[in-house]
Amino acid sequence: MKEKKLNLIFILFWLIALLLVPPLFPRYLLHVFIIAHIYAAFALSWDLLAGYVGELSLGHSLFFGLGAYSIGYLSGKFGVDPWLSIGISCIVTVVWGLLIGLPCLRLRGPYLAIVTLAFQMLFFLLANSLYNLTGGEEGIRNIERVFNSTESYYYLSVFLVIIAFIICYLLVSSKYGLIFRTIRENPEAAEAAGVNIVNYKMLGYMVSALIAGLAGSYQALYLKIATPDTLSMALTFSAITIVAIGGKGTLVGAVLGSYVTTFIFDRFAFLKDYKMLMYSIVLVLCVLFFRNGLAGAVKRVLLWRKMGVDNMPGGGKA
Amino acid sequence: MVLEARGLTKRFGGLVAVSDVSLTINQGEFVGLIGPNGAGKTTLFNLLTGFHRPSAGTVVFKGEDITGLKTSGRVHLGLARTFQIVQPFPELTVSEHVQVGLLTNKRKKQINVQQEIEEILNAVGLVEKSNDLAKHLSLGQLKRLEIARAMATGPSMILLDEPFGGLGQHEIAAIQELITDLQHKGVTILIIEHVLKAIMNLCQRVIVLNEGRILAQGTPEEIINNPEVVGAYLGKTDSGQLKKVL
Ligand SMILES: Nc1ncnc2c1ncn2[C@@H]1O[C@H](COP(=O)(O)OP(=O)(O)O)[C@@H](O)[C@H]1O
Ligand SMILES: [Mg+2]
Repeated sequence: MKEKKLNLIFILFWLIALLLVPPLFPRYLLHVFIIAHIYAAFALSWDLLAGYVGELSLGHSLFFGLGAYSIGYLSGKFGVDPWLSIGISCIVTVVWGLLIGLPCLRLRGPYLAIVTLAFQMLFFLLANSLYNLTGGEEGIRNIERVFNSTESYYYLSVFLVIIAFIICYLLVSSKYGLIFRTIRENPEAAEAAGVNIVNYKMLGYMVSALIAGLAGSYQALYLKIATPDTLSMALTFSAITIVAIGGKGTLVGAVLGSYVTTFIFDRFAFLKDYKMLMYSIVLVLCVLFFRNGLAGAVKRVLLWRKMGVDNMPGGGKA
Repeated sequence: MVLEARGLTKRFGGLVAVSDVSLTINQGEFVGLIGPNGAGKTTLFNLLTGFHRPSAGTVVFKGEDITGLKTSGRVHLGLARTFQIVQPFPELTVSEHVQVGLLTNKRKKQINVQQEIEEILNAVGLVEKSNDLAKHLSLGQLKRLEIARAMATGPSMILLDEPFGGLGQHEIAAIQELITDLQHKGVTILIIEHVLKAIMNLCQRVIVLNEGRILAQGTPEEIINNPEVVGAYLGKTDSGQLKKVL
């Protein structure tokens, strides 16, 4: 299929471009790229749920924060090997996903979104207030340094985001992708077509939690600190906005969207103080006027000779 | 016997939509379920297929008590359904609707999915539409897509909820032909229809539901001559008039 080819070409060009960054660009930009990659992985995990399974995860930073604090405790407080800590952090995140997902997904309605949101707010509060346990606003420091050069952290971030992309891509282009989309489109009809929607939602939720946790623990590893903003609502909001800019239900959009937002916030640093405001405005504008996002726009340009613009595939429902 | 319901009851708050319904359907049978609007026909389907939990009663399918089984589990056993109000996946293509049914069909080895999709779409007359998104289909096409999706799950029994509803003569004829083919393939069929005329020649047996209860059952002939059925549809009128309505 044409779309499959486009995605393969995208991965290839993307990888080559990323490998050219360190030799061609000033070292300072590597930091921006690393942050963009962490956000991209996190946004991918959100898009997997919202864009394919159709579950809006409104407290998604819970998993990012769980990843960050797990490695914070393990490496920063108890001196566990940082690589091992990343592995354990991912397991911790997935276990939390299971604990929340299992009871909630059995119920019809937006329980998953609400309960995830509730836990995210609770953990955010605890992280801020239990100073002795969590370090409060200061967070948990002393996460062991694993590399001496920013380049190494950069290459690992490339590896992380490409792996996240490939996991999501393989999942959504397999039979699971079709099953996810039937759930997004019409859960009752999916069940009537033989889809055990609880099980498949659970699968999507677990994979999403895993990738979000991985992104969170990598950020903590890179910054050598886990702070409460890894558990903030603003972080969830950033993923939602990134996906809206890039195009929901496309995966590529999550990546494009995070480059754009991260570089804009880097270029115009004063905007950082108005992050939530910016996100809100951009989100509203995207939903109203830019439904298919950057990915939709790019695809239109690449495919427009083959198909009528009306027949644009993908893009998904906003 | 393929399907058996014993004492099925469904209450919605104070309303008893289905009340103590017991019925049996035999292998290969073609049974009609009729009754006035609001009689509880769709609710009975929802109980049989696991969309609703019954307030009382049990459902047995192929000798297995499936009362506690969720819808998808019943589908895997071979009990499929269509919806009165069509339930497509708007942003998916026609062939994907069939593909998902084939994917979840655990009783059958997947040898040539593409070919099976084509066969089913051929049977329902939607081959030319296979790459169209469901949101671009007409009602008649969506009604046939409902049946195609149910067929893909490899059912031994299909529950059809008003498959003719809202359609014109030609479309009705096409669907009649389609479900007759299904019957010839050995699929047991339970079909809801508001108007008996459309299924008169198809059904071996008709069950009449009224205010949640079974009012009568019998051959189509017996049913249109049954004064109680007449009463349920028309109040007190003679059966000559009823025949026109049904
Ligand atoms: N989910 C529901 N909640 C409350 N009442 C319902 C529900 N489904 C059906 N009913 C009620 O049950 C009765 C039977 O409805 P239904 O089974 O749809 O009838 P039919 O299909 O025979 O026209 C109606 O009075 C309807 O309003
Ligand atoms: Mg009905």
